[in-house]
Amino acid sequence: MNIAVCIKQVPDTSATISIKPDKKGIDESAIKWIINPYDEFAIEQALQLKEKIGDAAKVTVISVGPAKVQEALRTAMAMGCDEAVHIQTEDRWSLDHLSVSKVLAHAVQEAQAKLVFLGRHAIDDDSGHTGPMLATMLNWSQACFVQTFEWSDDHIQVGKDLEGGRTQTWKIDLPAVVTTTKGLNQPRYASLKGIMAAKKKPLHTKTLADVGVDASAASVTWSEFFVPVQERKRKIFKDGLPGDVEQVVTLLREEAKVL
Amino acid sequence: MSSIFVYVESKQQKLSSSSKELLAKASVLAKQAELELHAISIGHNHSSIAEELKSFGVKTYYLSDHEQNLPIEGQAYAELIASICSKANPLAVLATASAFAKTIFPRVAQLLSAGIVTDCVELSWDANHKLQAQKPLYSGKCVATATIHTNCAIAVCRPNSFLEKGGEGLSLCDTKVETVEAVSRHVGARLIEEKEVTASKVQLAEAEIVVSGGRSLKSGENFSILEDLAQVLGAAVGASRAAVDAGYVPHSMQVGQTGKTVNPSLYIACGISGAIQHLAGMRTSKTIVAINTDPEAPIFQHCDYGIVGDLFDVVPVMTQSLKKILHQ
Ligand SMILES: Cc1cc2nc3c(=O)[nH]c(=O)nc-3n(C[C@H](O)[C@H](O)[C@H](O)COP(=O)(O)OP(=O)(O)OC[C@H]3O[C@@H](n4cnc5c(N)ncnc54)[C@H](O)[C@@H]3O)c2cc1C
Ligand SMILES: Nc1ncnc2c1ncn2[C@@H]1O[C@H](COP(=O)(O)O)[C@@H](O)[C@H]1O
Repeated sequence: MNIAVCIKQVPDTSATISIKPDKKGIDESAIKWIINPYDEFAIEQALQLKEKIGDAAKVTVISVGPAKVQEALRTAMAMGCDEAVHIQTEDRWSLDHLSVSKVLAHAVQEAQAKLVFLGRHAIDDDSGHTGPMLATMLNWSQACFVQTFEWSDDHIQVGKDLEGGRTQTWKIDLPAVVTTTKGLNQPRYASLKGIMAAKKKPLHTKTLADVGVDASAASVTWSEFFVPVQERKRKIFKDGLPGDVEQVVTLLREEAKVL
Repeated sequence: MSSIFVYVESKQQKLSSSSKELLAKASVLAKQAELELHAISIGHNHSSIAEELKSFGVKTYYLSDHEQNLPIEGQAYAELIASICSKANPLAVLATASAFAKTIFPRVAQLLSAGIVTDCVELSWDANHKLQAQKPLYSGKCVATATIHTNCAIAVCRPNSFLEKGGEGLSLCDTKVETVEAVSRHVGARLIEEKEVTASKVQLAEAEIVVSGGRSLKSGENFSILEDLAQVLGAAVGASRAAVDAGYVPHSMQVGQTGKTVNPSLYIACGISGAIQHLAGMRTSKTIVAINTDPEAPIFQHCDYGIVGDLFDVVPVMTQSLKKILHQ
């Protein structure tokens, strides 16, 4: 069985974000890039499944983005993915989610995968659009925000955490698209041996033209980026109880008016 | 006449507060662009909300009432919503960013070839009558304006974002209820089990007040002191990643860059240091209170009111104090 994983390269969570002078995006020059944290759960789940199935399974890792995303693909192969597909774009923001999911659908079909893992959302655009959109493009079932995962031959059983303290278990026929969230597994680190092996694994590059997607008319365009400054009052009390609490409660009522 | 659609959700047979907020905003947008306003809902026991929709000027209420969850997450719901929308060609479709909507509306967008923006905090029309949405990016480290160019624009909006209270938009009208058949074909997915796991009923992402605890809580049981405070305030309980990683509480309670983003009017951080990844999930809170033993903790740089002290002492005193004044 072929399994696909879609990964996105995003700024490190501790990165400071500064805005370009034209306000049409962020200054990427000083940023350290990482694999989207949720996508690490996706990679790990694909690898665990491959280990369970054995040699008959192949894991293809796919990323759409500029040349730099090949670093993320190599890392994924160092973790254990068998091959990588890179669909090259000029920058990180020109393709909208409708197009990204079309590109991914093409790559997933080419990899003849029956199961695709993605992260629940990417921590740069914080959207979570790509998984459900990819499922729609492929006309497959979807399971989003998955926290437990079991596979057997022609179906999967997944558990998800809902809001309001409820959980659900679903049984879903393959083929399917799964988006992963924290709690699903503990992503492995790439070993030295894995890093060496990854250098020899195949990394196929493609252009948007190769996959037949025209990126010229994005459905959504971005402008007027700014860093919000939230002025805080910073009134700190350290004189002891119950006085400190009483003062804060009074301020919450009379100054902040939130009670 | 062209239109705006709002996907509404109900709680105990009443419109949810997030849906009311969204309708108030949609009503203003409809008035500005001279559009009709329609509402859609799918679920059980929703017909009672038709009355409430009148005051927002909702012309038609498309209702698909059925006993149970449709047999798949996403797919059937999305097809139903897309088919209702495609008949009316709306300029915009709005929904609240619940976990549910976040899995449905990207599918609706793909079905309608509509541009979509999720977690919008402000909406307006540009000079060409295209919908513009403000949205936080990089976990709120910056904000940008998205212009949606497609004929139909989909905006999934963050709760507690808009200032409109209702009444600023369209005037009262008679809402026509139109029942829609659910699609009930076999879609290869079945719900096997649904369970309650935690007591807290207030949904984190939509909560007006959030009380959060960190590593310093030391155990899951100790979170009960935060739950007591939350109960007095009608608040939801959240946690830092350190508390989640230590196994005190489930990941569904994590606030931050790799957890939930919350936008309450009051956020009370108890024994949380204020790491950048935590701030990312709660920085837009209107008022922030911090309780921490360390006067140098970064959270004190990002709060409105801070108490330097042991949360195990401070929180119970606060609970008692609030109990007194809120029940007067
Ligand atoms: C990729 C990545 C993603 C991350 N995502 C998130 C995320 O989504 N959410 C998140 O929260 N973190 C996230 N983190 C982790 C983040 O960096 C911090 O490690 C975490 O937020 C710390 O949690 P904490 O404040 O509970 O613990 P600590 O940093 O250990 O702070 C504990 C605080 O409690 C105080 N304290 C101790 N005892 C008491 C007491 N009795 N009374 C009062 N105060 C007391 C201490 O002074 C200290 O300030 C992420 C990190 C990475 C690398
Ligand atoms: N450019 C991309 N290349 C490959 N996978 C992607 C890309 N963008 C998003 N994804 C996948 O889709 C998930 C959700 O991303 P998003 O819809 O951008 O929030 C990510 O966690 C990835 O798994």
